[in-house]
Amino acid sequence: MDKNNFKDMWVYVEHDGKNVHPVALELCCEVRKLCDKSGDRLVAVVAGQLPQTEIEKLEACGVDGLILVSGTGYERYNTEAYTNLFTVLCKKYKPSAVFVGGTTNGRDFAPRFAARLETGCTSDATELIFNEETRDIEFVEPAAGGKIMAVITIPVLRPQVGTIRPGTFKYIPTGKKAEVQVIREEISFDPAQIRSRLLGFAADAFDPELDIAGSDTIVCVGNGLKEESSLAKYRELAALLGGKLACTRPIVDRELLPYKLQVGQSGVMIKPKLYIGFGISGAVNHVTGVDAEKFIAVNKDPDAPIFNYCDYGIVGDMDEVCDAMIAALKNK
Amino acid sequence: MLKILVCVKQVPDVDQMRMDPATGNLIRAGVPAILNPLDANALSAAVKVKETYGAEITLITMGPPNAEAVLRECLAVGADKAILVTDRAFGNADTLATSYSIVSAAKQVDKFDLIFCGKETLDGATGQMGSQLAERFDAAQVTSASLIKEIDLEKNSLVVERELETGIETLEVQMPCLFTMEKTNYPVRIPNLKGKLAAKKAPVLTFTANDIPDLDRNRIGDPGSPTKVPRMFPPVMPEPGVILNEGSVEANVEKLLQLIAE
Amino acid sequence: MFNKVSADLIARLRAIVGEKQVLEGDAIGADYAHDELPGGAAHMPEAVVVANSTEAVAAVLKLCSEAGVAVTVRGAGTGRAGGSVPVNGGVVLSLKEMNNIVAFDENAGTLTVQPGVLLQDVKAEAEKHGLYYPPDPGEKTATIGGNASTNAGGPCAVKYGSTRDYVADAVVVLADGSISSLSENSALSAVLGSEGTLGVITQLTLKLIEKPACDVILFLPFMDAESCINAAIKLRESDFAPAILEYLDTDMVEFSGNVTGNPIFPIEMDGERVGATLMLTIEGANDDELDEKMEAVAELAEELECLDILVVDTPTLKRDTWDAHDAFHTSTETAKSEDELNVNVPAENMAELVAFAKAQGEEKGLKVLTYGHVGSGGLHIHVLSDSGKAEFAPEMAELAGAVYAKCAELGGSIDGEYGVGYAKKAYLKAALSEEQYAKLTAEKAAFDPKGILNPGKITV
Repeated sequence: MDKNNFKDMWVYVEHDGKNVHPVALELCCEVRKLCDKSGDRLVAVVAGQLPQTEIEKLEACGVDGLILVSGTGYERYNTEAYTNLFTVLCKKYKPSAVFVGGTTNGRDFAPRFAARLETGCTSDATELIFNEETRDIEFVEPAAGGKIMAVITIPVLRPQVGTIRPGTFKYIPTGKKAEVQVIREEISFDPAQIRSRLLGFAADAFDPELDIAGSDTIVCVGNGLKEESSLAKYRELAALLGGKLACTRPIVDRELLPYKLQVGQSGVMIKPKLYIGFGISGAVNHVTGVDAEKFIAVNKDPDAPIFNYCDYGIVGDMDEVCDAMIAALKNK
Repeated sequence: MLKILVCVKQVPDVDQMRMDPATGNLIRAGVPAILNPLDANALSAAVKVKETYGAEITLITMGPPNAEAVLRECLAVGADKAILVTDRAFGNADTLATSYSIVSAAKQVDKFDLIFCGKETLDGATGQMGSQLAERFDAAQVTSASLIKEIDLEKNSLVVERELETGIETLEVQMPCLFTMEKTNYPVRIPNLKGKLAAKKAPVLTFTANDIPDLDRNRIGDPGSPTKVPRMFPPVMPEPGVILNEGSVEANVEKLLQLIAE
Repeated sequence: MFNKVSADLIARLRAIVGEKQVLEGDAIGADYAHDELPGGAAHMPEAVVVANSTEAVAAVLKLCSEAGVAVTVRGAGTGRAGGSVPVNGGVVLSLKEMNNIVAFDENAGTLTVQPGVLLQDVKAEAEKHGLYYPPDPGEKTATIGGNASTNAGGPCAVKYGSTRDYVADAVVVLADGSISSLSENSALSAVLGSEGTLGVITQLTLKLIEKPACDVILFLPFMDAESCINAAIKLRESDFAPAILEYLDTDMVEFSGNVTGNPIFPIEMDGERVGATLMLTIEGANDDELDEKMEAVAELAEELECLDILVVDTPTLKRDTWDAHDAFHTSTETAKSEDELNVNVPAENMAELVAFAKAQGEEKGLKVLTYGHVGSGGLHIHVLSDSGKAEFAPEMAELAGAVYAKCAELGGSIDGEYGVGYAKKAYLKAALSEEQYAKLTAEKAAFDPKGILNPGKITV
């Protein structure tokens, strides 16, 4: 395989027929930067119907091209039609890379079409670097529970497939290109060959307490938390600050708070204006999930790595600091 | 009778791993090897199916010879047979090569109606293996499955629940099918003494690369792995932030609230 | 009867420990007014002194003794009987900053620590040297000083004994400020478990032991509590020497499992509800020895009338098991109203006391959840209610009175795992013989004639 025959970097555009999933826009913005370095063209791939206003959002991220696919099989997400779609498209257009948002569905089919194409697939990179010497993408990701960073490459085969968690990259559109090439494809997948049938969908009741990705202020508790009963005060502090309570993986493992409140690489990526971390050591897979304008850390261990990531820190007992903050805020 | 394959992995307990501050390398010595936690939930799901509908459960793992320990652990709670795929030639494999190796070995043993995996592993956490195994078995797949609701043995289909970010899907799916399981409805089973003692004596079928006819050596181990890890490095530490030192907790908090308000 | 803390005293305390180490007025955090006693009232101290050396503790005690000011010593404040709560105001002497590991003596296998070191850190340090510190009441963020002051034991006390058995010697500051080094004598024995009423421990030398090479946890489910506890008694007398023998009531494990989402203990077997589970630990030099012991348990099983024998032998399951066990006493805090009784009762009579407490609960419409260390006789009785505190308190008081009386009648004592504190003071007198009680008051008078140390606890 001569990898020089493979050009263009693709972003798969997940959508629900009305709105583009934010991860697709984030990926377009980030992969734009890679393409600027590599000289590849950035192409967004959309299957099924999508309103023009949403297409324009994609164009505003600086895509060079769009592949708009129509046909049967895409009415709802299913493994078979999407695996087939990308196998067919990749064989025809030979992209150098395919990026897929790391949603549950994205993570479902990306490894499968990569296996069908017999190429490599990476997941959950937190940084993407284009190596001009090797002309490979370096997928940088925390490994072994965040204790070390690993650089992963796919040096021989193409396309390079990667799933990326929502919230990993920033959505900063750089503007529409003067010329956007639009390719329309019709690729149908026989619905009879789809091996799963949707019988029903029960949407989770929307619980605003669980919507930490959209909150401007996050009070986050880590494994320093001594006991469940103290959670109440952190919840109170979050409420006083007009924010939400969140936590790290060990707190979810201890089953003290639900998974939807887990911040980090394997949980929710957050971009609050204010983040206050209590009793958090600062493992990489947690801090990579936090992109805060003001980052505050409270920990009794002055050597905790979290202090390297914070703007301001207090060394002290997390409960005492929380109590004092509550008291001070109430006095105001 | 239903034939079930449960794929399990022995993993280091990463929570107990430490980094050598001098070299930046992970210290693996002394870190216990455990059954990947979500694989235990997947096994519980398979055993539940066996109890309800009747089935034969075969386990498979790929790893060093001592990975036999996790197979015996699983045999003790209701699995019937175990396959250990072990050979230096399989070493340093990524998910693509591993899925090829496991499916090649499993096909020597039987054809399976249902295949269960944990949603992801503790060490790699890529969550790719299930989809890639399903591709190679040419099976349907339901990733992030949380409940096997019912099985229709005549129609060869199942009704299952799947956890998405926004809610729960109910799907009807055709066999053969692979599931990657969430832990939601399937707590880990604890073996009884009888099962434990029987598991110690149960035979484990071992496959080396030579034991699998027509195995493509270019598709296993390091040569068969398209992804490479050219380097690892300790997380880069930014410069520390400003540590407040105003004399007392109250004074620190007061200062902090000022800084927040700015 | 005690003098108030004067501005002059504050100044002199600051001269000893430093300006910032003495808190007064609003600077005192609310946590100093209570421990983890469910429903315990807040008692604010007048001043908090955070001491950082034996000498400072000595100087503080001398000063307070002369001034006639009450001193209540405090560690992490995780007690559940009000032992570290300043019910008479005065000074709280916090030892939380005396948290250094002083020395490890390889030859003697001892670890010398300051009292503010957390139990989890003592255990980790022992492990670092390939050794083992057994006592473990479950709360691992308690300080070792607090453990020594309540003579904490925990589940493994059946084989390994309690904290008192692991203190080789201790540095103790008496009420008048004199410093003594006590070494495995009756004075040391008296100070350990005295909840800071006889002296202030400022250093402990702990004996560490070899950790058993292999161990396994077994769950033996039973139809009812009585057969479970009877089986435990038989096993205690067998040759297996189980290190842990825990009676776990199914109501307790089910309640806690629902709260934590970690339902590891059996609730049902073959469609029938389990009444209680016996959790035991077997240790051995190697796997073969463990197998032999497990098979011997299996042979006994029929006679014991247990429904099955479940084997927990992987690191993950063992950790889940202990997490689930340690969550019992915190899970109950989710009830609207709750309280707990921690008593010691001879194993032979534990089932009777459990049945009595449950019957009392049923009569009053209160949920009674129990678990106990059959080996040492420690029994935890959690009482929960959906009603408000005002309604709950009088019923709880009635139940507590009845259960404590029954406990005494059955030859038990009421100091349990977390000490007497102020919460059980009234019941202690009722439960002890005149002679036993007189011994306690005499000890108190001899050690602390002015009665300034932790007043309002145990006897006075």
